[in-house]
Amino acid sequence: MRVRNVHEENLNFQIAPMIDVIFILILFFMCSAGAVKTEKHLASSLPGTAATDAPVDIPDEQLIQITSAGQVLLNDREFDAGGKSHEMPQLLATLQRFRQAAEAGKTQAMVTITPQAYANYQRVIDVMNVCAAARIKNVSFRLETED
Amino acid sequence: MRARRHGADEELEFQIAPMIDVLLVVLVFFIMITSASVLQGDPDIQLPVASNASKPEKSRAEAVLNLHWKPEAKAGWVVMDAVRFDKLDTLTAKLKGPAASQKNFRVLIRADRTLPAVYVQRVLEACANAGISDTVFTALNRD
Repeated sequence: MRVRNVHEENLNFQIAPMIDVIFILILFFMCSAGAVKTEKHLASSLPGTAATDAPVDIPDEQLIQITSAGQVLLNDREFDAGGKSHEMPQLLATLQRFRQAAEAGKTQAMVTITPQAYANYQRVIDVMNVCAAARIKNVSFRLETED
Repeated sequence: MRARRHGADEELEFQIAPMIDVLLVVLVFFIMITSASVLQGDPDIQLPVASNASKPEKSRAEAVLNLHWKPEAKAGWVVMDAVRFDKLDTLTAKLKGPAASQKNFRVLIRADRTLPAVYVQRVLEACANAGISDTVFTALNRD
């Protein structure tokens, strides 16, 4: 057996505990990474500021109303009645058809959201989420005066 | 290769240094992922959920507006860069400068999910008055 001198003993770096600690840290961050909530974006544009020097294409516009009770109306017809879920399958299917029809007619599909004054903001985001799922990029708000 | 066989003392050693390098890189990666959720946003705001929202576009000049609402008083206020704006006229005045000087300036709206739409509309109106038409709503990917 080789006899180590004192000088060599002092310089010895214990690698095994360090790797243990690193493994535990990685495990911790791997587990917490799965539950991370990230912020995502839903774009919209406000009406009335279109550049005047650009040629104007008249978009195919649909109006979605959101009532204070959370009802979502497209052309005065209620969609996904009573649903408290964030997903709105009926509205999604309709908007997808609307986008396909607009693409076939070579016009821009556009949705304008007009919520009532005390409609819930989450419901507004739900409708924008459905528009994003239907790949409608032109989403706008109608700015109304107070009711 | 044959030369190595002659060295009886030479063992197949486990290379520890590259392993530690890789482990540290993996560790930094996961730390970055988890800390990405720590944004400039206000922790008091409970953001709405939108699973189909797109990934944030980072490379643009923007102002982050945190919208608060007090239901009892039916009054709201906006916090931008740690400054509270109770009146939206002052917010419009504050936004006019960067909106005029910076190209493609946009506004990021972080609003609580319980907020009434009327207050969001008022804030949008304030943005429109400042000459900003590009607005982005922030939402969480999951509840």
